[in-house]
Parts: sequence; C-alpha cells; structure tokens
Amino acid sequence: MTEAILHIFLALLLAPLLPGVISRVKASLAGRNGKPLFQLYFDLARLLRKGAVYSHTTSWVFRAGPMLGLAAMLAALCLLPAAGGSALFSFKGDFILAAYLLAMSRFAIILAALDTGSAFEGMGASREAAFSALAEPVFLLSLLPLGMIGGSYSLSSMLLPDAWNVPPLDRPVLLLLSASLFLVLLTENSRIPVDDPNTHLELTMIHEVMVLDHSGVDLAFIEYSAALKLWFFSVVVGSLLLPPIWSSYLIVLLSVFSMAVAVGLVESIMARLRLVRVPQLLSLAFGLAALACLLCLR
Amino acid sequence: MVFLLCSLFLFAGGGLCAVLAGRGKRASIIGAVFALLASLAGLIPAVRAIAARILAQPAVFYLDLGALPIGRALFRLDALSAFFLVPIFLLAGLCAIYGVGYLARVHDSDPGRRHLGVQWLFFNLLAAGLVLMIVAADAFLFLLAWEIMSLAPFFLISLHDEELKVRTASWIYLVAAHLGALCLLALFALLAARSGGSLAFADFETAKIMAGDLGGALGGTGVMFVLAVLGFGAKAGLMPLHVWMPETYPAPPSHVAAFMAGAMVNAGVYGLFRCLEFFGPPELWWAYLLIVLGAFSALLGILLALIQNDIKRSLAYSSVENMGIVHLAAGFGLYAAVAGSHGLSILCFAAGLLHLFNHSLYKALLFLSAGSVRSRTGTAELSRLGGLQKRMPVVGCCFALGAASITALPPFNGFAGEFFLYVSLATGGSQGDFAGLIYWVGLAVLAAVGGFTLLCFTRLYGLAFLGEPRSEAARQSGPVSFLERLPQLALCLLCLAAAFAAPWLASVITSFVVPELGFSAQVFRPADIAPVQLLTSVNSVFLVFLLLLGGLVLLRSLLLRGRPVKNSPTWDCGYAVPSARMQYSGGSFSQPASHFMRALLGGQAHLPEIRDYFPAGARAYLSFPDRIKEGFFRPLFLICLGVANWCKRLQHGRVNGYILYMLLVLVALLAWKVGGHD
Repeated sequence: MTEAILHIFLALLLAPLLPGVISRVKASLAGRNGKPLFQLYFDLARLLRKGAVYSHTTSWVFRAGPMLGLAAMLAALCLLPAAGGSALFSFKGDFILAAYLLAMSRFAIILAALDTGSAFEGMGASREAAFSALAEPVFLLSLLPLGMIGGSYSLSSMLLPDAWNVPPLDRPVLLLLSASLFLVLLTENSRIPVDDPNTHLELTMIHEVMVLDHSGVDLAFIEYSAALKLWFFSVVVGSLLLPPIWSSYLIVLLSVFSMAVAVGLVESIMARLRLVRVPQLLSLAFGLAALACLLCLR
Repeated sequence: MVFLLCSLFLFAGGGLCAVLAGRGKRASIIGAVFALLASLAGLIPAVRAIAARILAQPAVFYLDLGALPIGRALFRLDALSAFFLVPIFLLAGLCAIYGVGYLARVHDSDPGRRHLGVQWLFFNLLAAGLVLMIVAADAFLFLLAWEIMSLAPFFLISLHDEELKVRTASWIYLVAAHLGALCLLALFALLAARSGGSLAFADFETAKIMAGDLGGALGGTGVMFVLAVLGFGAKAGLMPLHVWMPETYPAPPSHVAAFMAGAMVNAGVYGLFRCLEFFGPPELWWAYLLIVLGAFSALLGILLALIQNDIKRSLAYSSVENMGIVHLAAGFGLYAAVAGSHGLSILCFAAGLLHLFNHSLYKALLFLSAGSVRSRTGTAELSRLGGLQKRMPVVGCCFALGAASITALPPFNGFAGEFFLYVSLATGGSQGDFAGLIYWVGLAVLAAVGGFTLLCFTRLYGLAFLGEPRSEAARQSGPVSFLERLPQLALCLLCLAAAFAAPWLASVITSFVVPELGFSAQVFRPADIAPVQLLTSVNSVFLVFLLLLGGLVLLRSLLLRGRPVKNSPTWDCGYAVPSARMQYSGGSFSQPASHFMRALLGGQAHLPEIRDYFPAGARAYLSFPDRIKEGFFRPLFLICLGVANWCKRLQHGRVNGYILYMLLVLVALLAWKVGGHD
C-alpha cells in the first residue's frame, strides 16, 4: 500500500523529466547541446503562474477538457503497479479500466480541440481518434498473454513476468509483446514515427495541434498529463524486460528512463512516416501481438 | 399481475380515448397521461419481481378468452420477462412526455393537418404490444403481440408522409417486419409440431427433452435456430438483416425513434433468448453463427456509423453495432455452455444483458437529444450544424453524457457491460489451447469497436454541438421546451444511476435472469459470479476519478483567481478572417478512419472530369453505400420484382383465359388422382 502510494508520488514527481531525457538524447546524437533536462518543469511552473485566454467560440467543454484528461490519467496511474508490489487498486480486469481511462482522457482532449472550431485542431483530433482506434486492439491484445503468464488478469500480476524466471518457451512471447507495446507507446504518445512533436504548426502533427488554443493552467494540465501518459506506457513496456532483482524503485526508474532513451534513439534515427503508412506500423504491432498470443496459447 | 393487466388495459384504453378526443392537442395529453399511468402501473410488478428475486415460482396466469378464437391466453412473468419489461415501461413513459411537446409543435405548425389521436393510438398500441409479447406464454399470443408491435410503428413512422424519404422508410420497415415475422411463423409451427400441437411455451420446453424423434424429421433444432436468428435478428438489426434500421430510425418523430431504438429492438434479443429455452442442448455451430454475425454487425455497424452525415442515421448504425455486441456476448455464452464452462457462459450472457439494458437508456437519450436538434434547426445533418452547445445547453449536456456512456467511458453506464464482456473473454482465452483463441479474437474485435465508437461519438457531439454553427438555422436555434427537456434529464439521471448501481444490476442478472435461460441453470455456483464484485472495485476507481476531478476543478479555480482571463477569437495560425466553413466537417473528420478501413467500407469517390481550360462549376463527393443493401438486397428485390411483374401477365382480364386456367387445374387434379395419390 505505502509502496504503491510512493510509486505514484515518484511518477508525479519524475514524469516531466521524461521529455527532457528524450530531447537530451536526441540533442547529443545530433551533436547539439539541447534544451535543459528540466525544461518541462520550467514550462509547467511558468504556465501555472499565468492567466488564461479563451476563444469566443469555446464553451465549458473546452475548459473541462484538460481537467477531465488529467483526472483520468491520474486515475489510470492508480491502477499501475509499482515494480515488485501491487497497485493502489488491483483487481481482475483492471487493465480494461486503465485502457478506458486513457480513452476517457483522449475523449476529453478531442472534444476540447473540436470546441475551438479551428480546422487545425479538428485535423489533429480526427487523426488522434483514428490512430488510437487502431492502437486500442493492439494494446489490449498485447496484455492478454501477460495475464496468462502472470496467472491473473490484473495489471499487478501481468506486469511482473520476471523475464529471467518464466519458462523458456514464454521468453519469445515477452520479447514480441515488448516490441508491439513499444510501438503502441510511440503511437499513443505521439512520437516519431507516428507524429513529430517538434514540428509545431505543420500539417503533419497530431497531439501538438490539438492543444494550440489552450493556455495557462489548462496547457499545464495537458502537458503534465502527456508526461504522465509517457510514464504509464514506459512502466508497462519496461517492466516486461527487466528482472526484479534490485529494489523496486530502482527498477521502475531504470525501466522508465531506458524507455525514454529508446524513444530518443528512435526519434534520432527515423523520420516520421507518411500518414497513410501509420496503419501499416500498427498492423505490424498487431501481428506481433497476435503471434505472441498464438505462442502463448500453443 | 393485476398491475400488469391494468397497465395493458391502460395502454389500450388510452389509445382509444386519444382517438376519440380528436385531432388536436387534447388527444395528445390524454394519450400521454394514459401511457404514463400505464408505465407506472407496469413498473410496479416488474421492479417488484426483480427486487424480490422470486426465482422459485414465476407468476403464471391465464385469461379465458373462449369467445375469441384464441381460447386460453397464457401469461407468464418470470425473471427474464421482468428484466425486459423495465426499460420498456421506463421509456414508454418518458417518450410519451417528450411526444406531447413534440406533437404540440407539429400541430401548431399546421393545425389539423395531422391526426394526433391516431398517433397516440399507435404509440400506445406499440407499447402494449411489446409488453404483451414479453409476458405471453403461448405461441399464438406471442405472435399476435408480435404483429401488433411490428405493425404499429408503420403508422408512427409515416407521420410526415409528405416527404418521400419518410414514405420509403415506412415501406422498407413494413417489408422488413413482415419478412421477419414470416420466419417466426415457421419457427413456431415447427415448435408446435414437435410438442404435438400444443402452443404453450411450457409444452415447448417439455418437448425439448424428446427432441430428436420428431425434431429430426423436420430438420432438427438447427433449422429452428436459424429461423429464430433470422426472425428475431431482423428485429434486432443484426447484420445482414439491418438494412431497414438506418432508413427507418431517422424518419419518425424522435420520441417514437427513441422508443423503437431503446425498447423495440430489445424484443429481438428477448425472443432469441426465450427461444433458446425451447431448443434443447445448444450445438457448437450455433455459437459460431452468433459470434460471427455479432462481430460482423459490431465492426461494420460502427464503421458505417462513423461516416454518416445524418445524426440519426449514425445512431441507427450504432444500434446495429450495439446489438452486434449483445449477440457476440450471447454467442460466446453458447460457446462456453457447449464447452461445459458454465460459469463463463453465465458471465457472457450477463454481459450481453447488462449491455442491452444500458443501451436502452443511453440510446433513447441520444435519440431524444438528436430529435431536439432537428426540431430546433430543421436538420440533423452534421454539415449544417455546429455551436449548439451554447444555444441549447441542456440538450448539449444530455447528448454529451449519452455519447460518453455509449463510448463505454468510465465513469458512465456503458462501461459495466463491456467490462464484463472483456473480462469474460480474457479469462475464456486462458483455457490454454486453441479452443480459447476465439475468445481473444472476440476481445480484439471488441477493442477495435471500442476505439471506433470513440471516434464516431466525438465526431457526432463535436461537430453538431461544438465549434461555430455551419448554417443560419443552427445559428438561430434556441433552447427547447420543458416537456422535451424533462425526459432527457430523467434519462441522464437514470444513466448515472445505472453506472453506480452496476454491481447490483449485475448480481441481479447473473443470479436471477440468466438462470432462466434453460441450459445454464443446472450448474450454478456463487463462485462463478465473483466477477460481480469486480464492478464494486471499478466503482471505487470511478469514485477516485471523480474526487481527482473535483480536486483539479478546485485547483484550477484557485490558480485562476485574480489572474487575467481574456476572450479572443480562435487562433487560426494568423489567418485574419476565419469563417465557419473553414471548420473540420463530418466527412473530413472521419476521412482517415474511413480511408484506413476502405477494404471493409468500400467508399467511392465521385470526381468531376475536367476537360476545358476554363471549367465550369463542378461537384466532387465521396459516397459510402451500404454494401449489404446495394450488393445483396437490392438485386434480390429486383429479381422478386421481375418475377412479380411476369406473374402479372396471368391476370389479363380475358374471361376465356381464366376458364382455361380452371380447366388446366381440373385436369391436373384429375391426373394426380388417377396417378394414385390419395
């Protein structure tokens, strides 16, 4: 219980570090100095001190969106197990609830984007909805074999497969799943090769364009929930690969930051895919997950 | 039971009184008051039966109608029928209240043009027919009620019969309803043949034990099952029998559409579940049939829903999707029952029923809200709406709640049913061999459907209610009357209540309703329903979510206090004169998804051909015809039309020709007799 709460605090405290790590990795690979590691903390602090500007077009939906999004994200975090222990709430099927809480967060942000009446934000919202619709089955399907290996369909036992101790035939399953879940991570967090977070105001972007009109506290909420989402997926993917032999917090930190480094590496060596190619990427992820299911059910 | 009969008589009597009251608004009030009273009277026995959980002895009684050819009319109120009665009575009352407001405006716009009394007669008859069908315990009464329930909507749909679309919709509905009923007639004839001529449901159930001797001669229970799926599936809108739904739902007044979409479709599911009791032990291919049809309806239904421009058409396709999920759940219930895992079977059926109940509430809510949109703006087309949240705030909030519920988002009421189904499918897969694989395939389909539902309903709500109005009519619209708002708010409350009462509902369904479905009753252990407790855990997370939300609202208002909060135009990348036409439209919002799914949807782009150097005005558009309608039913009905046209030649009006026909028939009969067939 205390462990789970501590883990949540750790996430709340350290999640904004992840985008910093990613951009530092990208910068050092490109031979630049890059942004400060704590840039997002500075941004959040600055945004939280500001007032707000609202469009005439918007209604309460626009104002509620960021709060709903962050609340859903925080609730999903309560379902995420700390390495070595169980989550604050853990029961059979909690992974469904977590996936749908993420959907709730998405729902709120999409509606807030549509509330501005801007064509840009409509475009981002439309793509976000389409890609996440394709990513949803991959995410849930990837978790199923974990439930089988872990013995119970609760995130707390699904995310503790202890890759070094599972039967040898299950190891390829874990490998396949971490690959497919990593692709889901890239999609859900709007990273290259699905979306390029650096191209502000281009017709290619998804997440960034949805939040063009948010300002002040609202924007801070959105940025913070995006960081927490990255943390959430990093824990999910990272926990499949690392052995729980050291202290649980160390493991969490190691897995999360190694995921951030991996995302940074991918962003450095790849270009963004054309929009129509993204479903192919997700089909690949789906194929990997389906293969893992077959191997697991053998 | 007295209350139930009272309710039936109130429905019927109210309809007659409304007709006698004439064409005007008085008829409206009389019809609605009777419908409301009937609903309240009917809710008493239904809720009492559920609350008391009288599993042991269902209330059986009969009316002696010896003077009529019916003979003895058998009624029976058991757990299954009580469960299905609740949404019918709830929606009948609420839709009647909405109808008063709606029809009053129809009357005011053109006094005396339409007979309101007749509208109420058929509305009340529809409700009475539904109730009668659900408490009927013999095939004759069941079919009679089924016909009443199927015919009444025809007269309701055709209220605005000056529009061509409405007339077409009524005819399509009538044909679909009759073709469905035809299958049911054959089904009950087979059942009656097997039970030795008796039409009582109780005899059907006893006859199933001896199935095989006579059943085999008539093609076995398999034929009956297929007939039931065809007949009841047509009512529930199961693909490929769904084609009437998207045509029919947009046509009638919204309270009728809401009642049809929320209560009448349930009749199809009820019929199928009731008949499962008569068939005897299920076979594996039945399960596969339901699973395939359900998955197909769910996936294709939601894909077709997300490309429609008309809100009500989109909602109709979403009904196809939801009925698909229910049948998917039922299919997996059968699959598990055949495989011998009865706990899982109970869970799957319970998931389907829970989903069905919740669907009744939020689909009716969505239809009522969409109706308010259409009655205020004159259109339900997304390309002409927008910005309604500010102009009709209550309707907007109601639609938003309905959209969040149907997307199965926590903490709303759509979540419980889907969660139940997800959990059963996930656990079903872990039987450890390839037999379990189908559960996980089902889960993947369900997840994909969930993702597209989010797209579909953010699109509907976002484009109709948010942003800037896309037409003058939408700009001019205003708030709706109290009578239209009240049922919507009541349904919102019911949705929220159902979300937090989900554990109770689930325990009622698993312990009380599902055991009625003959084949899973025998092995029933409390351990099997442990997942009911999961919903309690889910509710605690809901609570955490709401607390967090409250905290954030507080935090935001504290932070913004005393700071400058300004208003300005939407920032459109420096473009100085934004117009409402620049917004994302319905077509563009669903374009990525419809492009990715083009293999299933098969859209056609109609692009103008440009030949001159100075081309004149041109039109380009995308169309997504319903492939099942265009590719299967249209050719089929064209063939029927051809045959019918050919047969018309037989009736040429020449008497000598007719005498020749008689002679030919006589000769044929003579030859048959001489041939020795007697």
